[in-house]
Amino acid sequence: MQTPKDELVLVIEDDPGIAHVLETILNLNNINVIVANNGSLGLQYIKEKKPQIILCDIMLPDMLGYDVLKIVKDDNEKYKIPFIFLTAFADPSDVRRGMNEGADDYITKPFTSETIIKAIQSRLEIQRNIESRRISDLAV
Amino acid sequence: MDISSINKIFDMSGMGLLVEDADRKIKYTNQKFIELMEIDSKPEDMVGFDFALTAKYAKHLFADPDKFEFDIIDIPKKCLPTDEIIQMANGSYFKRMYSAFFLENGSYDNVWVYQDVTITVEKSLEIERQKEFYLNILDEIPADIAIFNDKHKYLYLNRIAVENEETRNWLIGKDDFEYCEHKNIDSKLANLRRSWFNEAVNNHKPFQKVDEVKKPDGTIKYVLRIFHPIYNKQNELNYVVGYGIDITDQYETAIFIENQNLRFKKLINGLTDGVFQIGVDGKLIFYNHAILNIIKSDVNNLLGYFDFKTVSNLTNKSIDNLYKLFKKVAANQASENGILAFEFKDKSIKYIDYYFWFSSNPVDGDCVIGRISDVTLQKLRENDLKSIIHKEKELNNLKSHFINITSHELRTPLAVIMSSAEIIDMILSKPNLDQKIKPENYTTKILAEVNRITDILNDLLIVGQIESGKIKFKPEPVNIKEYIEKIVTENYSTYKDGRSIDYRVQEDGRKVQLDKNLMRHVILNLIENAFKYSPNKPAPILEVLQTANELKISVKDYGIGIPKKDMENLFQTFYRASNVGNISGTGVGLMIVEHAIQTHNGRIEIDSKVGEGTTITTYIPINNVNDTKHADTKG
Repeated sequence: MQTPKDELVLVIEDDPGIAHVLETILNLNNINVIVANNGSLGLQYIKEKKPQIILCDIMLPDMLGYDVLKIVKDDNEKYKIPFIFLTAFADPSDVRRGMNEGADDYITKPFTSETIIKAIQSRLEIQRNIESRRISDLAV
Repeated sequence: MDISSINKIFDMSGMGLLVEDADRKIKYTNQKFIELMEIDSKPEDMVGFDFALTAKYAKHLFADPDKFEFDIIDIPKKCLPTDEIIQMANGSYFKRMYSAFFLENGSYDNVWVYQDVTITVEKSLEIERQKEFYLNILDEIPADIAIFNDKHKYLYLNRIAVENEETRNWLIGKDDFEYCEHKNIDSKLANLRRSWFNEAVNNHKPFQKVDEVKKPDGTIKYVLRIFHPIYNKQNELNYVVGYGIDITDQYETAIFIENQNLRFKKLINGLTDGVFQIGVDGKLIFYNHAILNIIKSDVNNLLGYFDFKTVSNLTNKSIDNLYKLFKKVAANQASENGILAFEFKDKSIKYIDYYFWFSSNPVDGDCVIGRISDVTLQKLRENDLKSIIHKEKELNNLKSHFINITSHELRTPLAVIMSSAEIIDMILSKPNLDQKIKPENYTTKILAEVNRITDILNDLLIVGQIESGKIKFKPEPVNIKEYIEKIVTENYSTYKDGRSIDYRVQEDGRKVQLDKNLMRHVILNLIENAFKYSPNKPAPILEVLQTANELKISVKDYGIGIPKKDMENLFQTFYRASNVGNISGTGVGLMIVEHAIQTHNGRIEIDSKVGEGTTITTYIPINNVNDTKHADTKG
């Protein structure tokens, strides 16, 4: 299944290696990517570029991924952007915390491209369904 | 003198007098005699009466009436003077004297004199009774008793001393030599006793000795012999009382006790534990040999010492501690146990396991009994064991830190490697892809990330080697400029965020003895930290300066700085400053730097201000220059 090119994924990741390979993998799968190498740039991009999905590292140079998630949730109460943690914190307790904070998914490093793509596509699918229902509700 | 005068004299003397002729007709008698025979008549009226007949009537007055009657008839027949004591029925005694008084006509008169001797007889009887009483006692006392004169001749022996009465009587006035000769036995015994006798007499005081006597049945009897000289007021020897008491039972008991004592002493002195008893006044009552060893005493006999200060080589502090314990135990009448450190004047230390308890007995009164054991060896072993356990724990912590760090720090480079490999795979399987995505970009990435992993693993490996003391110091002459430039260009020509290090090397051409591997870790760690903790700030500066005596390597950054409170722990394995935030790291870099610099006999200086930056400078002495070429050119 191909994802339409107009859907944008925001990657918030400070490690240039990870950011670069993620960008390539997503591009190869026809997903538009924008990369922020710190939390505040990520929050700025969310406002400006309105991404459909966010992939976020936890250890960022200026803030924690949890803080980014909290701000995103507070600013978008009605319209929720899917939020996926992508982190080296692989302990089950870390995963539980991430999910408890309200993330939609939690992916630990190292990851396969398949895991990333599937996670993004399934979130986008759900998002599209919600969107179409919202539009039909408005039509009525 | 007329008869009445004689009569008066006799009456005055209290004696009864009767004179009769050979035909027993009374010629004369006095008042006393009439009273004695209880005759109801005057003495002058008795003249002419038959005395034998009179005696018949008076015989009941005598204790033995028939004998009296018989004697009165019989005695005059013999005409022999008699003098005897007769007892009266009323218990009194009379001395009866008879004498025939021959007359000129060839006939004779019988003269009877009765003298009241009741008091004298009773006195002598009393003396006799007393003598018998004491002799009986002497005979009944279960001891040999003998009394000697000043020549050691027997004056008295009791029945226990010599059972045979005949022998006993024979011995009086004789000595032991005569006895031995009489019994035909060796005079050794006599000699021995003579020496004891002389001992007592010469020293003017009792002499005593235990005498071993072989009994007829072969068994030995122990006799305590005492020669007790008795002196008169003029200090002249009266006699010597010798007595012997059979102390076989007591002696055997004493020997038994002595043996028990000996056994106990051997046992208690054979112990390696020290045992002692100390009075509540602090005076030592009892101790065993081990004590001397434990307190390192040069004194042979500690008994009676009030304190250990004078007898041991313990420090005053240790003795005070010991006495505090004694006092506590004595005051509480309880017990105390534990382990004390005994410090000696020679600075050595012994660890002592002690148990002190209060005791009270009739002999010593209140006291403290103690048992002390030298457990230094065990304590040292325990300490060794503790340090091994501590080290094990540290290694264990190190391992869990290692696992945590590797699992976290390695995940990011592994993710890059994995994704890069997948991308290469995708490129190869879809040849018509965007030409901008080239496989070699990703192989480079894989190599870079593998290097990153290798660096982390190398750091951890070195930590492991340092912690286990296995790291080797291999110094070699190094050309500083070449060495530094190589490290910097290979690793930090451009940092991953695009910054480049600014470096200056100032050297004098001499080679410096360095362990290249260790110093590489120092330089890389310092530069890596400088970049890592100064994001979005000017690039760090590396400055290397070779002076006459030392090599100075300094790395300055404009980063986050190190809070003061973290300074003292900065070189501990896995320790990271409190302000590192989200900057990843293993916390081993500075620990490696410190170890490497210390191995080079160098030192480290840190100058840091939070928010402004940090400068870490290392100094390595270069007095160990070993470059002969350089030395030659100079010389």
